[in-house]
Amino acid sequence: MNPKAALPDAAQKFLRTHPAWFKLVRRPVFLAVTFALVAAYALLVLPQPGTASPAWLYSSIALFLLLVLAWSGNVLADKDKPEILKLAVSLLLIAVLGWLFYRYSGAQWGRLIEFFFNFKKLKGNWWILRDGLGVTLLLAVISAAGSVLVGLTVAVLRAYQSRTLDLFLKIYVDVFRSAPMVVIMVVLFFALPYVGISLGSILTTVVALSLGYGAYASESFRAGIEAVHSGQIEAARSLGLSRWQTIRMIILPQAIPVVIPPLTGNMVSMLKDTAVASLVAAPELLKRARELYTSKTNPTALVAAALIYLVVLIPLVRVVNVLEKRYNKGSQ
Amino acid sequence: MAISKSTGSTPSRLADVRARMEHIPLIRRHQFVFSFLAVLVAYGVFLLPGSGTPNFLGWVAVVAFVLLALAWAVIVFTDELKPEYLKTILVFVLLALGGWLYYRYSTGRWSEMTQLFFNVKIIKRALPILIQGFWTTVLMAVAAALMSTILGLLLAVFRSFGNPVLNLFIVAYVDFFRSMPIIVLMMVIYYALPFLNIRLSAIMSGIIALGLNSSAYVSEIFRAGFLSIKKGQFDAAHALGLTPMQTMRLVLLPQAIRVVLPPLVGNYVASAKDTALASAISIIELLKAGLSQKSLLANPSPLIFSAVLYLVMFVPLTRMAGLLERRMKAGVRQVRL
Amino acid sequence: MNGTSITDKMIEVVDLHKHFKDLHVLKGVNTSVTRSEVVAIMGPSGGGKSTFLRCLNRLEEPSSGHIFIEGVDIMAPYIDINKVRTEIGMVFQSFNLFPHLTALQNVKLAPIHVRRISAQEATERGMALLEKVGLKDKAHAYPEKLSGGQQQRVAIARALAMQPQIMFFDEPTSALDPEMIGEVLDVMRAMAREGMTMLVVSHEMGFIREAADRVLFLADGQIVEEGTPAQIFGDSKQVRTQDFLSKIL
Repeated sequence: MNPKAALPDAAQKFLRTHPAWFKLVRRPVFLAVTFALVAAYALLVLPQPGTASPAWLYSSIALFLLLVLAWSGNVLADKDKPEILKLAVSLLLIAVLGWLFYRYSGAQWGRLIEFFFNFKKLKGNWWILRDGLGVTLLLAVISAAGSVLVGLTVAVLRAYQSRTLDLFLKIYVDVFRSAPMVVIMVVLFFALPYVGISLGSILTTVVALSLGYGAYASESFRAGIEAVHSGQIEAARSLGLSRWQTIRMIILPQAIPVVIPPLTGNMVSMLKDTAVASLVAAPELLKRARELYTSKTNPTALVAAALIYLVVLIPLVRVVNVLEKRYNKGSQ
Repeated sequence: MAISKSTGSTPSRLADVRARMEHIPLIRRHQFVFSFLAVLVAYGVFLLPGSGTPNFLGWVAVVAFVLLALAWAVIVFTDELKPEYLKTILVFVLLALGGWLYYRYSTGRWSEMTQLFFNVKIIKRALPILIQGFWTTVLMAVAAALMSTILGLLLAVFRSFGNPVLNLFIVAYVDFFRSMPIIVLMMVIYYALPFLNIRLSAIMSGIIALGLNSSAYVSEIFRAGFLSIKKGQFDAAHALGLTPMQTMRLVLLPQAIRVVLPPLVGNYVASAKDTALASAISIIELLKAGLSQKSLLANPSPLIFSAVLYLVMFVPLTRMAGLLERRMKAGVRQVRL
Repeated sequence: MNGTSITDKMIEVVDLHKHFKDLHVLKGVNTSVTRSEVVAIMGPSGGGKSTFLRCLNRLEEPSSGHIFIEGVDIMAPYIDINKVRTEIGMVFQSFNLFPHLTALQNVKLAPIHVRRISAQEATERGMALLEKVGLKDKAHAYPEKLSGGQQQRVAIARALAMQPQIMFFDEPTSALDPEMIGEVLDVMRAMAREGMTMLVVSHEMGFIREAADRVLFLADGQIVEEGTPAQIFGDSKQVRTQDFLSKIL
């Protein structure tokens, strides 16, 4: 069968009526040409740092970014291009972004060490940060316990289905889930003294965190309780177990595994929010870092504190991710 | 069990009730509840200290009283046999009790409460700054949302290419900005960067910090959205003769938007709440406005007003976001990490 | 109907090869399908049956070889593959209905956007097809509310809405519970009786014996044997075929 035989009638209805633009942008020639154009743009059009008006500067950089991202995205999205090319393009992309940032940030990157990692200046003062970290962790642990207590109590009480009680508890949950944590802390710390209730900064923090995250925790616990199949509850009640017994022996043991991932997520968020306590004078890590920054007029302390937060939190966030995945697998 | 010998239409109800009561645990029985109540009343009348600020022992007595009252309330509330109207009355009684206790022991500043916390005159004076703060909050929330959406979408798209180099950077980025507390990020940008000659205004620092943090979550949301579309959808669309553009418009986008919208809205709301942190770097947003006016006018009403405004804004928003998420997935509600 | 004219050969496959990276999945397949013929494709899993079918409408890009639909080389650059696909309806193992659209909307989508008929006509056509597959009362139901068998029948109606000349079935009943297989096979049998050209990848022996005109046994990327159902099931010549059949019969 000769593949190049005269076109049969059927071909008429199959003929391409528009040009295949899609194929065009994938052709090597097109890519090479556009690459050259973008490179030319970079060398000729982009202004030297500090020589252009802000409007022109920002728009030309933005356009450049757009072109670079579009070009590299086009190559990287192409299934047929070899992996080695895509690897090169990705490295090039990172390099270009880095170069852009370096060129236009006007920063004295050479003095990075002097200002951000000047550990000499911190010598002898590491204990301040260490103390701060200790307070941070202490706050987190106590508030975690507090929030679990509050959340569990609220969830269990709501499970009793008294309409009135449920309404009040719902109001509590809504208010404390909607208010930003910083607002709660600030109001407790600055407004309460006017009515004679003067909690110290640590106590304010613990109360604020426990109440605030207790609201989230109660929702998690409630979802966990609801996740227990209603058939279980029916079976338990028909066996004669009271409501409290049902909750204690049937619902809670099954709800706990469901509740672990969001709850641990809660606690990690709480750890992050301890930093907010610096605004109410709690001597935790951020506050002590700020004190050091002010006294030494060198931001190394702030940077060090930021790094400490990262070192503590990144593993925790990863752990919670793993837990979330495990729970999702189990329930499906 | 035998009720009684037949005496016509009224069998011995007393025996009936007594028989039923044998199965009721102690704390539910009427007698227990009422005697507990009597104990509480007696305690309140005789054992509580007089008005004025109590000494340490007095505080102990008050706290013990409160705990006992709460315990009694819980017993009544959790009893499914007690009627609902009774419980409603009980709630108000408890509130009144709390108010009375406070009035008695707080050195009588009750009448001052309104003056202190809801002082209309002072709020009127603070109003211009408070309104300015409100608009600043809105501005920051919107700007951060825009920035995070664009950034997050870019990150998610480039992550979908599966390139190992890019993935490394993107994953590092997401981990970094999900783990860094926003307030720390704001402070580093505003206080530390100027040492390197990167001077950003307070508002820019705030918006950038919020945007960067939020973008990490947004990229994960979009990524989940991309992954949620099954490959077979594309097969079916192509087999029907839809062009790539049509497939994107009619099949991919509608499904992706449905998956992505609820968590995205939740993220925007959470981000908007985080604008309050900008008060730490002296941006006059709503919280800072309230605080500064409180100091200026020596009265906490502006602060309370700010707090109430936050509630008015965010209670409906949070509920709406929760409703959207619940329609999407049945399962455990999760706090944004 | 001229039995030997080129246009009666609906599908012609010449020396088709397909590589997936290092894997040589199709190793030179040659076959043809005439109008109204029902061809069944059988074989061990991994043998290339699905890949073969998907190459015919270029859901997979063939590595080499030629494919002619109605006499037209569909690999040619001047051919718009989407137009070719309008003549080929495809039904998938996992149904692949669009979850955000109702059954009727699923069926109407392609006629409106690809064939560009009016919405009203598409609705009429769609309802008629849904009735034909026995699902008129489910027209406004979303796929998640339909059983597997119902979803697959909607998928068939969706493919038929384009009024294709050829229908491909890629293991249409493999993902169905046993009690629902029958309803889908009934629809397929009706289509075969009406003279539709069909290519079916399947293990349903009963259906193949009844409705198929020809059976292709595809293993290791090549057609090991082909013939009528009677020939293949009763009297197969190749060891490979006998081996496979003994395992599933």
